[in-house]
Amino acid sequence: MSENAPAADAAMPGSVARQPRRASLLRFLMRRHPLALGLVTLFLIAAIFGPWIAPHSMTDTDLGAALQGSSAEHLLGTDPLGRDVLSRLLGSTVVAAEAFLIVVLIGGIFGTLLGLLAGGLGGILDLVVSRVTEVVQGFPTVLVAIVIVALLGPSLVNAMVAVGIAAIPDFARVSRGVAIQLRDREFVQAARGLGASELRILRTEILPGMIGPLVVVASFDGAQAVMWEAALSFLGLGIQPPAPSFGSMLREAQQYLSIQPQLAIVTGVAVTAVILGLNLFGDAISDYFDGDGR
Amino acid sequence: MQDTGNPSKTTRAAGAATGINRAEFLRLFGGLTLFAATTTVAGGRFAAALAAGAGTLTVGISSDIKTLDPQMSTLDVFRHTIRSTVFESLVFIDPDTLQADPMLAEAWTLSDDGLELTFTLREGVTWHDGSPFTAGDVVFSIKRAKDPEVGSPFSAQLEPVTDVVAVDDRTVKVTLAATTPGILSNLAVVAIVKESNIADIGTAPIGTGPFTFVNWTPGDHIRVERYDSYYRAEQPELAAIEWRIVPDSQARLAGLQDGSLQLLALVEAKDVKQAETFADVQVLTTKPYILYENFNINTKRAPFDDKRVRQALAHAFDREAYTKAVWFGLARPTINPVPEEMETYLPDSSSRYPFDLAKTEALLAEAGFSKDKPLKMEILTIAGFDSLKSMALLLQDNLNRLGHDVTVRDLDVTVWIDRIVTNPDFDITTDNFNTGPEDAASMFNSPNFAPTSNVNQWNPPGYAELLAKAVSENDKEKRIALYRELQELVLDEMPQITVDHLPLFFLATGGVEGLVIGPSGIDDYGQVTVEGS
Repeated sequence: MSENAPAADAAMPGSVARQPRRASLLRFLMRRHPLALGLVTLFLIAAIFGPWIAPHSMTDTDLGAALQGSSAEHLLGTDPLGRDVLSRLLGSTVVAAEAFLIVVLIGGIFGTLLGLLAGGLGGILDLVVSRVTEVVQGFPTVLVAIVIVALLGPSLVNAMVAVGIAAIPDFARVSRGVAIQLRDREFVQAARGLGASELRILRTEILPGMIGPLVVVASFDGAQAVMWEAALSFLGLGIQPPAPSFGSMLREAQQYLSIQPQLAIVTGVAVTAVILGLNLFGDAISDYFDGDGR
Repeated sequence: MQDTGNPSKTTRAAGAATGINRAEFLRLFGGLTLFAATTTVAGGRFAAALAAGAGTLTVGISSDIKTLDPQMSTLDVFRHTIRSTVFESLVFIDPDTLQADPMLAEAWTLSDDGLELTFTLREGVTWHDGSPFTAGDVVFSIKRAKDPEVGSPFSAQLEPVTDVVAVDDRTVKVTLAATTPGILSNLAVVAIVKESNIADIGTAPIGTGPFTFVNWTPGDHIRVERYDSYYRAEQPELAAIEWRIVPDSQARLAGLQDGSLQLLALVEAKDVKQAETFADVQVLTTKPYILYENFNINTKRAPFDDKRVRQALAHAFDREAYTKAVWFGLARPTINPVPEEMETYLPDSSSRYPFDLAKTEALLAEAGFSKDKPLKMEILTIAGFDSLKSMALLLQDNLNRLGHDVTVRDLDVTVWIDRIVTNPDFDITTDNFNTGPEDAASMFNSPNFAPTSNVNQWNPPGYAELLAKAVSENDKEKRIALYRELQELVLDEMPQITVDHLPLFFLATGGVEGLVIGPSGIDDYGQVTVEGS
């Protein structure tokens, strides 16, 4: 952080534009955060290739093989309807990744846009956006989710739209903060002096400076999204049967706790690993952009 | 958590020490299954001793009731709660003999032509407000349940009743349109209510039963307390009964283990299976055909108005595998709602419509559905009934494998009732029904088959006449033949797909004694005792 304003750096870590080149992110993660990298890599492999590597159908029932333990045929056993647990866990990972993407896209696009305009342009707009984000933040996510699902019917997209809306303030606040810091910096003033319009300045000078912090927000909110997806489908408000989801699988497993405990343990470990991995990854990214990675 | 080797005597501290019971705790944190998996090995007596000392029975039930009016709710959970304690009927059906026992009526006679039933009412019965119970109350109650403007679901059971009059204060005469062998069974489910209480019955119901209503906190609990002036002086033994609404079956089991619940009403086989590993828990059960599980079909809605579609669905469900896997063999597969124990049972009919997806495909093809033109349908199921949900998922899977487009929707019971009964808007729903007392007359006049008002909205030409003929036939052989004809009709038309017969299961801690689980879902709690163990 050599350029201009160390004070701003302290106030808003990772927010400075035009920093010198860092070490490569991959190498940084391998050296400093191998667990995060490992878990997220597994998550990505499962999410992208899950449908192809699943040994069985995710939805085909086989009552003759219900509630089995691990076997060569079913590596992680079967659920109460005889469906293959490994295949359903892989399917749940795909659903979790979809939840991640929906939430980060909704929160990222709307939140960043609002924050950028509010912070970059200031004035009345800033006041309105700030107050509105505060109001949105005041609503409990699960309440918003239940209302949306009650109105539009339970589905993955409906549940995640609610979580995405709840994520907008996070993105808006961070991008607004960065925009406020950057809007009076020399390189921005230089652009202004050269006659660039405010909107062009927002796009070409300020937006690139907030990528780092936004990635950090995205990884945390994405991890939250995975957890909310599991929580809402546990309550039956998320993706509908027979599609698998961590939440609905946990709910089923819980019903058979003392008959087939393996079901709950395997599913619990899987969902814990995914959420832990994403959170550690968020921490790692945050470290990286904070400067540790240089 | 030390391991004492006895699964029921370990962890207790968590729930008791923090002031929330395990059931609530698990309900709150049900998602943290890993945690639950490691701590659920529980049981013991600390909390049980606290709850039992006062003679209060705390019962776990899976879902809430919808109304306090006993003439308006057919919900199982209602029958086993308010209906079994606050209100009474003229007669009670004994679960062992399946005959009518005296309740509010102490004796009755049937006229020679079988058309006049005269009840002599019990003396010294009072309503919970202290006023005396009289013949006028019976007349009012039966008339109210029959009144189409009231819209009672029990009106079907009273179809044959043409008139009811009070001869004197203790004598009621019921006139029937035709001889009706099942009339006592039907009257056993019609609760006697007080006219002056009707305006308040939704908030402060008054009955003649052994317990008075105290309060109902929707979604949380229902409470009744001993009625001191009950006509059986030695009853009830308990000071109070409190039903806690715990939708999660695992949380209910945990409540039974930690003693915060002493009785679980209407549990599923997997709960029975799990409770078998608990120390000091008894499984209470009834005859094996008290309930049947089924799919109700909206036969008014296309394409389910086509019987080939309904028959195709019947072939698409593997009853044998379902009862083995989901009920652990504790239920008995059948396609005929009439159990083989009834003399009217159509011989060898229970195994018709075997699981055969090729037949399903062929029948659906005849009706115009195929992979290219998939059958689109939504199966509704009631939240908290796990076996019903499994039924829905299995039928969905089998049909979707054939390329159809089936969705499953889990609904809260109050929403479900609206969509099934109040404003019918459904394709198919899972459900369960009482087979009723040992009499086909009662079943065919139930809300599931009564020609005028059944859930399936099914009433083909000739059905009502055939049923009326069967119900009023006094010659036993002829009556049996008519009921078999009815079963042939039902099995051919498939207005509902029956899946299995099963007993009712209750789980109780060791100290609970004296519960009589009634065949039509109305229990006798008068002699229940709870040992302060």
